[in-house]
Amino acid sequence: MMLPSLLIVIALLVLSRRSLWASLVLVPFCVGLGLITVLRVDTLTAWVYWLTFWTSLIALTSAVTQLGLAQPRSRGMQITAKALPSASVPCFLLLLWQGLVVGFNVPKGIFPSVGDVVLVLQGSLPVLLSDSYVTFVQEVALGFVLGVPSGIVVGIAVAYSRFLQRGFLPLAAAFGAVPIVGLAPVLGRAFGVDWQSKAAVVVIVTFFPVLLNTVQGLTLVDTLKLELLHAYASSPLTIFRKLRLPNALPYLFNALKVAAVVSVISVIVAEFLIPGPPRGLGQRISLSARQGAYDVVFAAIFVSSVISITIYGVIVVLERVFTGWHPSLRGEGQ
Amino acid sequence: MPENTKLEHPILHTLRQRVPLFVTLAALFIMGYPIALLFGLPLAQRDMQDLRKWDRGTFEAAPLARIPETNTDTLQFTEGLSSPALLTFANEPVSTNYRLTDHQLALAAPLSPGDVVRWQGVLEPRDGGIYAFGDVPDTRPDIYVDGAHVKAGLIEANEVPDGQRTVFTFSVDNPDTDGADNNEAARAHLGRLLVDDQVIDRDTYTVAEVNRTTQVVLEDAPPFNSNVRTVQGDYAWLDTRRIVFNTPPARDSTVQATNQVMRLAAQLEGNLDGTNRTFTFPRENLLESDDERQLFVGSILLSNDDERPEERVDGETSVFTFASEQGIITLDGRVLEAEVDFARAGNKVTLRTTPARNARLRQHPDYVINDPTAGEVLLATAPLEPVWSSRYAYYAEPSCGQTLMACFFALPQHPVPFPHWIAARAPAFVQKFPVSDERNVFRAIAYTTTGTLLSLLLGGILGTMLAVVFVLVKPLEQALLPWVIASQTIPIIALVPVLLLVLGNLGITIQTSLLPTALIGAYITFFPVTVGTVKGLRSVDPLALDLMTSYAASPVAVFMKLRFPAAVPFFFTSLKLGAAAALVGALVAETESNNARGLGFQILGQVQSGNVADVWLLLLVSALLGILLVAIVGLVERVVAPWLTSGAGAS
Amino acid sequence: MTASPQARTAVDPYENVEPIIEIDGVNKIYDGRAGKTVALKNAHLTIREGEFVSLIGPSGCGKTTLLRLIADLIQPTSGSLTVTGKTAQEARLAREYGYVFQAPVLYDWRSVIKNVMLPLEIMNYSRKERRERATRLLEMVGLQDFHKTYPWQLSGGMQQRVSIARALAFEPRILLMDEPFGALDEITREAMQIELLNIWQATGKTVVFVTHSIPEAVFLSSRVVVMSPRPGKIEQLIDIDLTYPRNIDTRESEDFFHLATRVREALREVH
Repeated sequence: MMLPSLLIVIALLVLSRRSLWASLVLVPFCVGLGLITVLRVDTLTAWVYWLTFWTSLIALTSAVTQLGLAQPRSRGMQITAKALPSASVPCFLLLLWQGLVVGFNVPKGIFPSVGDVVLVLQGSLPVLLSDSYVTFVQEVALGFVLGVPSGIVVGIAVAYSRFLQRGFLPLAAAFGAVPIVGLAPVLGRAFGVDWQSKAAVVVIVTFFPVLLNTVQGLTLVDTLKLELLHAYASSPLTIFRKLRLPNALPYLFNALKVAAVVSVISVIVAEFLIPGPPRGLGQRISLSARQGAYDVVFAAIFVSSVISITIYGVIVVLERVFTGWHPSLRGEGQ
Repeated sequence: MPENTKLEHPILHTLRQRVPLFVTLAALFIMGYPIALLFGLPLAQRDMQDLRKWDRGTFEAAPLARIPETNTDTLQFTEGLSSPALLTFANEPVSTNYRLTDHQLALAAPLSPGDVVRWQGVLEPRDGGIYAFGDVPDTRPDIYVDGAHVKAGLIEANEVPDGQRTVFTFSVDNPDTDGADNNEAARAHLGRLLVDDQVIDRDTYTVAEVNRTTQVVLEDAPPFNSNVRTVQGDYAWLDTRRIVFNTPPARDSTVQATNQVMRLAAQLEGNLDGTNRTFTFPRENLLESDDERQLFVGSILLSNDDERPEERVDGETSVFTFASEQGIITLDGRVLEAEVDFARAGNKVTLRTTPARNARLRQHPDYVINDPTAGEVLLATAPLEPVWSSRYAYYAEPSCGQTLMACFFALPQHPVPFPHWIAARAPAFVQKFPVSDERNVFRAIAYTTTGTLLSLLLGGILGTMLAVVFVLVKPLEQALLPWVIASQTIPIIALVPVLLLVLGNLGITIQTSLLPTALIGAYITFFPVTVGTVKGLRSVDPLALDLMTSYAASPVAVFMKLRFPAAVPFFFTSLKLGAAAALVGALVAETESNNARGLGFQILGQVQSGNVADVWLLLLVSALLGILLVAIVGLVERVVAPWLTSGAGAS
Repeated sequence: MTASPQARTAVDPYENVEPIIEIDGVNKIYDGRAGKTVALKNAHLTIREGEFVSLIGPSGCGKTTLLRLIADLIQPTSGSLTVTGKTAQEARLAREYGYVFQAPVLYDWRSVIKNVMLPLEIMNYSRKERRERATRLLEMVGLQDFHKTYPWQLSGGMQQRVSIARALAFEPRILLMDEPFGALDEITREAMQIELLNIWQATGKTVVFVTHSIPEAVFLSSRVVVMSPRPGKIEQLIDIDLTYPRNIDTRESEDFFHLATRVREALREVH
């Protein structure tokens, strides 16, 4: 059954040079063929396996490239041609992973296959979700709720004080470079080994980017825009409300995006470093790694990635809502 | 119009600009103190309130200080009592009128010497100030020399002999600490030295006052696991038969021992009306479990025991049999009321509610301490005679100190040490390991820096390569770039343990290799560099591109002459952003891989040993290192692209 | 040359009108790293209500400085400035003028109509009043269909028109304009000049207009102030007695040409 499929692939490959439709069909076909190959690894002889595997991957790459170079006319085709390559990237990577691990018969203890990870996700989802709750809701969310407003408040204070700007700002920039590796244990000692110390890590890690960006956003105001308000004899409060605040929003969202990413990473590192009750994704990863259960490790990483990408996505959406007017978001710049 | 003053000297000007910075640093330094208190005081509070961390005291009935030689109506005791005192003799209250003022007792009617003491033995002198009993006494009696009470005492050295150590220190309260030649005073104050339960010759050791402790240097090292002790007070027990005096008594002195001498015991407060069973000790915070507690009613010694029921508490039985036919029943420490919670029939007790499985059910025949914190005791039967104790143990005071601040300073580890402590620790910290040792802090810094710079180089090269590919093959960029951005949100640091173990399985010796650091750091910087460099390669002025086209320049030439130079600032900005993150990755990698040569290992080590000040110093070092790395990248930038930071600033 | 009024060709129509801006011996000196710069030296000028005065001269002649001094955006080193009978600061606090910059300076995050309403919000006009005035002014500048558009969706000329509408929103007595049409192409500029004149005629405001274009100065103003640099000072005052309303034909008339030549020669003299 493999060999006829191979022939179809090659045929489509040749056709795809001319026809857009061939490429479109080729993509799911290759994915399907690859899937079947890795799933039926036990029934195939080695060379058949590798032949179909590599062929489907190479054909996939070629089809995606063709799609990218194509200039379709209809709107629907344009969207498909743009979306399909993006969507096929994870398929490619997952296939590659699974194919290599299964093909070389790598035992689960050295490197898990995609299937192993999926099984863990299926079976242990409640546990992973409860871990995520601790990590993300208690630690990250709480840290965010404390760190972001305090960063904003201190940012406003610094922006309005010449003294603080020259005195505190360089220090804040330097503090941002303090690695959590050392900070985490100290915080663990101060706050105890439970989730509070990790939330404290998140507070510190979000505070500094938010502070720095708020100060930038409030102070880097177009001089002419300021003079306009002076011409209207505006009070400092008015200037703040009408000019500095809206001006600072893009900077703030930039900081939030950075903070979101960094806080997830910091929380997980903090959980590595502060030994405490085994709750939280970072601790799950650390524990499973030590036990050699790498499939659990990857499953936990997957869950945390999904959640952190979602958080990032939410912030991006909010950014578009609140600062859609900013040049970077309205399609300027080449 | 005021004339403009000359511009001030540039150095002074720069210094003046930096004033707010110094002020803020000073302010932060000062703020360290309240923060240290904020975090440390609750811990100190906990220590103060934890009874288990209190020093213990023992009350013992005070014996006569001096045995009267004739009939007398005043008795002198070794200690006074602040609580109601009871005169006792041989564990029986002495019912006679008396008035006690501090140490001195005034009797209504005089007593003869025979009424106040019954001797139990005379000690015979041996060599070296040692006295011995003829027969071994049952319990350690009080010793009197010529009718005067002498005190026993023995303290151990602070160090345990390990077979090679010859220097030992003793924590003795020495009032003379005026430096120089008070070694003789120290020796005199120290008392006789006992090594391995033997008295040793004065010539075989020297005594000195060092750093407010008394230090002893012995000629020969005591054997492993023996003991080094000194006699405090007047004498000490060598074994069950022999005592050694600090200053041997005169040749013709009589050294006598007795257990039966008049003593001042503590009387418990409480109504003796025949119905009251609750009495209070003079001191609060009693030790709940105290085998040596001696509680009397009149002349009867109450038993400390508690009895277990014969039956198992299995959650179904309610009837239990005890050894005695009377007593106080407690369930899980709670005193049960007769008739209300249980009914008694001899030594059988029927409980109204079935006790839970494995509950702690006990009968206390004589008494039970029902509130140790208040010093309250409940007797089984209401007494009519005085209730008193000749010995009991209690928690006297917190061992850390009397006040909260004292306990604060006595904390073994402060979560946030005082800033000047951290500063003071710095020189010692830096010199902790010699430069030849790879754990030296500077070598560790160099190692970690090398690793991080390597990873930046690697990440930079890979990122640039991928960016070039992206610019040349646009479909690849369209497909991959969203995923590249999304992957920045994946906590790649979570994969560090996995990566290390996989590398280990592949046989790469990671303990001394920079590979984990380089890989992790490269991964962390690789993505921002790619994204930034792509932006930079594309940031070319379209007019400049047109110019290149008009020269019919090849794509390679366009790249080299136009796109790369345009991308350089973006590249370095991304690299700087990645530098701090790469440092974090490097430190985590070192921590997880137990690489003894790196800074991460140092931090971990100090954290685990609890040297908090060192941890803070290392933190400071890491922060400075982060800044240094960014500066190095900036330096490289200036070398590679001098036109960017040439200082030709506009406006 | 001294700053004395030269050859008036006709009777000054504003002679009996109250002065609205009086500049008396004003100096502005900047202290920089390279030493002192005299931006404006001993300026004397009287502007009467309803005039359209242009300030023209090469760069460094102090025309923008003078405008900003009137607006109290900078303060004079010495000398006195009276605007509507008050000091410059009082006039600013009393919101007596509207300022139009070289760039439109519109707030990206506000729609066109909200940008026009900005000064009205600050000056606490009621919501109804704000909307009314803004709508009226946008109609006046011909942008009635663009209420909800955002600034970056408009062309340069349209943006500048919004800026002018905004300056007029709270009906100040004086309009201060700093090369407002400098960034526009010639054709748009000429159209905007006619529109500006229409607005000026309809509202009777006093306009002080900075430019470096001779035709523009001559076309728009009732009086041209020629300035020279190093140090910046007022050199000549030239009355433009072309009749209003002026239109395309005015530009091609002989009088226009002569007056433009006079201004050009005056500039050449002092350059």
